Amino acid sequence: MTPSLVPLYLRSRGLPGTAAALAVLLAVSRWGADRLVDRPLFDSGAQVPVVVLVPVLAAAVTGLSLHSRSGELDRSAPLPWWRWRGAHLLALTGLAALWLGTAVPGDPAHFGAPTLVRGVLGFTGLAAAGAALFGARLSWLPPVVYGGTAYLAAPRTPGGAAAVWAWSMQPGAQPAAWATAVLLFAAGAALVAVRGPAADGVR
Amino acid sequence: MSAAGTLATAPPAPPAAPRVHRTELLRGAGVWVGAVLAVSVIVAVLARRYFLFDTWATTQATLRGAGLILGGPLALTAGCWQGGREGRRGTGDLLASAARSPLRRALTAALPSMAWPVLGYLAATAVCLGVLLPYPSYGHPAWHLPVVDAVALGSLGALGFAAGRAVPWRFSPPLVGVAGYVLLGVGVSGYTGPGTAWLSPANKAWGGFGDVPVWWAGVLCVVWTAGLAAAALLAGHARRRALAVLPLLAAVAAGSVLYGTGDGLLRSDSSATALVCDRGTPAVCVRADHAGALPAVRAVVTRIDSRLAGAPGAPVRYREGGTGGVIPPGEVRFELYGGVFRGRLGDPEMLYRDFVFAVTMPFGCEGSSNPAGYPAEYAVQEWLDLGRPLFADTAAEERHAESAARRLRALAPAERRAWLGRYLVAARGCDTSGVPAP
Amino acid sequence: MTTETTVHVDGLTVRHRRTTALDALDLRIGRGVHGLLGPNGAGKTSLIRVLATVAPYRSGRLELLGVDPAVPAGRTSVRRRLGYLPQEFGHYPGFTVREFVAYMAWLKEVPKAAVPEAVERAMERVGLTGRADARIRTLSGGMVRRVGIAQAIVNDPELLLLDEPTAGLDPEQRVEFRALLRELGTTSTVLVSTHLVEDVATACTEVTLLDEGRVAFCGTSGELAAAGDDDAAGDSPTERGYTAALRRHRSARAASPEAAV
Repeated sequence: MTPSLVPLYLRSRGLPGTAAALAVLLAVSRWGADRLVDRPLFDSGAQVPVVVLVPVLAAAVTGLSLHSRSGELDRSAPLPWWRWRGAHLLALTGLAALWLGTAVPGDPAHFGAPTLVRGVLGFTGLAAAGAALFGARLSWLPPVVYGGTAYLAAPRTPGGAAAVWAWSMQPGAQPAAWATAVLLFAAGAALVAVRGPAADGVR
Repeated sequence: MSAAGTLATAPPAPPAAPRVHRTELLRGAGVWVGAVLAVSVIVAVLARRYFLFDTWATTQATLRGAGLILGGPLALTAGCWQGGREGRRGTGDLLASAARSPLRRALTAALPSMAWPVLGYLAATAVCLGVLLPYPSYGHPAWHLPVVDAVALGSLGALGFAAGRAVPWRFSPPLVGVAGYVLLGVGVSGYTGPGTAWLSPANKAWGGFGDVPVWWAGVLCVVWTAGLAAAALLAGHARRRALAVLPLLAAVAAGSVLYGTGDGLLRSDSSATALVCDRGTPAVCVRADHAGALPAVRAVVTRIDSRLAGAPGAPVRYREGGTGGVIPPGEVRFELYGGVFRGRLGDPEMLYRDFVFAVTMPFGCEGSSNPAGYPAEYAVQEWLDLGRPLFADTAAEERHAESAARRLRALAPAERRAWLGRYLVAARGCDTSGVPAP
Repeated sequence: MTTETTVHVDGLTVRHRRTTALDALDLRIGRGVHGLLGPNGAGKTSLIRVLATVAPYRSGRLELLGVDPAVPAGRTSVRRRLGYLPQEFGHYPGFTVREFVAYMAWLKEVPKAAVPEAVERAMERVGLTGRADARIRTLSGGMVRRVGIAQAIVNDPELLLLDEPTAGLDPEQRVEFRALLRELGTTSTVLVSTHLVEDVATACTEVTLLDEGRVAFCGTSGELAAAGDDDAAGDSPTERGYTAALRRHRSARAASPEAAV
């Protein structure tokens, strides 16, 4: 790994643009969260939509960043790609979790910074799996569809089976929800690191 | 299907040529869009069936809410993806050399974007209503509502398609979808005024607490959504683009009526809001459409009433609805926000908390709270088992409140009843400062 | 030239931003197979796109199949009788071959009753009948090219425009394709742009050589072969004719820029 490869890799994946998109997302979510709380009759509970749905968008941005214009060429290169892709995913996930976690405090006991971090992990895992299965261009599909459905469908009571299937909507620090999110991240990241994003020129 | 042999012999009648509309419907992501939409709507509705209200109005409101909030962005995204197809596939030149008019071409290509969300939603509606058929105990299904929603979903698909044709960019589909999620969500969030909410087809007001929309609200919604979609398609592809003005005018007219009338489009359903009471003391009354939940509400009333133990000033009547009006003394008004399902309350705890607050901080007393009264307020709420976290400005006051609660618990029943009575009477007058903490 | 002229081009000028793709081009083409040769950037694709009624032009006059395609009604009538294979053949990979060809037949407004037979015949002529129900994404590059040719001929076009149709075809397919071209040329006007001069030598009755947006040579393929001299580069008479004609055109232009050819 010669050092000069790193900036080339960053440019080839459009990572400056991705970081900019994450920064915009951060600013918008912070503004949105503040605005929601400012309204009369709404307290920090009103931030739930932001806290739960912003990680979906962050994951979508991360998933799209896996896109390579030269996928066919990349696959033929002898480089240990899984390291690059793994580092790529870890760096963006860490960045998103750090930024979002510090930007939107929310209500840590129910829906707050920990929820954001858990969401970033789980949804990024889904996006990574989506990239491996459908290609980076459609990688946002699984987190968006799952996130939207869980947001509407999740029961209001914590715990039980819902802690697994509706992990993204669990208030507070439910161990099962955290475990599911971490597992999703590990599985998705491993899948895309090893297999790489699917070719997405077919559709 | 070996066609090689047929070449040598006399050609038989050729197989029927595939119809273009069938081809477009079956050879794309459309089928999956319809399936994903149907499954996610079914999951979203049925996972919440224990929270559904006991009426057809609220059942259908949940269904259309899920269908539009989940299906709408999906239809937009899929339409945008389909609209960007010619750009992705590089078929622009080939299509431009064809004799078929651009509008016909666009309508055919947009067909899956419009049809599959509609089919998926109607399938989900059929399944959900079929499963929920035995449950609602009041009202009857409004059959025109699924049609209104289906038109809205098809229109969103067409709008997404038009957007994708106009801006064939890789990031267009997710962006359009997210924008749709936000804009449609405005209708259910309640953050904006009622006028804006009615512009979103996902507006929650379509099935509320005993209010039903007038029938022509559905017509307005159809004209509003379909008009926008037709205008977008005509503006993009018609030979005479000025024709787009006609549906646009219709849409704007319908939209401005929706916006201007707002919640005036609702009329209250008097047979649903009529009260049904049981014969116990204190009296408990619920609206006719929640009659099945009367015993469940009675159980919650009994819970608070046993803690109040007949203290003077304890409520004599608990009545559903009418929280906005003048409330006679001794009456508690409530709404079943937690929902009702087959006679069970969706969230009895929530109703109990509402009762406690109504007793200790009656409606209309907001803003007149007395800081000095916090320990007393905390003590009475603690006695009533509210489970509210202890939170005061100073640690000393927190200790004070905690010891007040402890003392109230330790009082003899008669003394406690007397103190509670004084507090409740004072609370009705919105001034508890004259009641020192026990 | 024994047949009537079906393509009239007078003073056709096409510009892309600041470069001139076609420079006051005059061209007459009749029935038969007409080859369009020229180096990269000579304006072959620009000419074919204008003739296919998909690209605008700066100035000049056009008459295709007896009508002026600048008039909307005339354009539709030309498009019904037009077959076009673009250089970059865009298609829908999820469609089967039969579905795609039928789709194109619909786009070209082939009468409904005639569609089934037209589709089968087009697939048969390019040898795809055996793969009629295969999705296009499962086909090899050469087969996709044949799908492109099939869609171009599905409406039995009177004017057939093929932009590099032989790219991606293997030698055997190319031989069959040239036979198909000759057959099509007996009834319609076929304009084939190509880089392969042997296509021109064997399949085309006439040849137009473009260079920098102007006609460098126009004649029969025999005349092109005869134009070559021994010091012209090339491995076949047609190749030598090609380089010689091009060289002659360029030196003539350099001598008097106004009167090329």
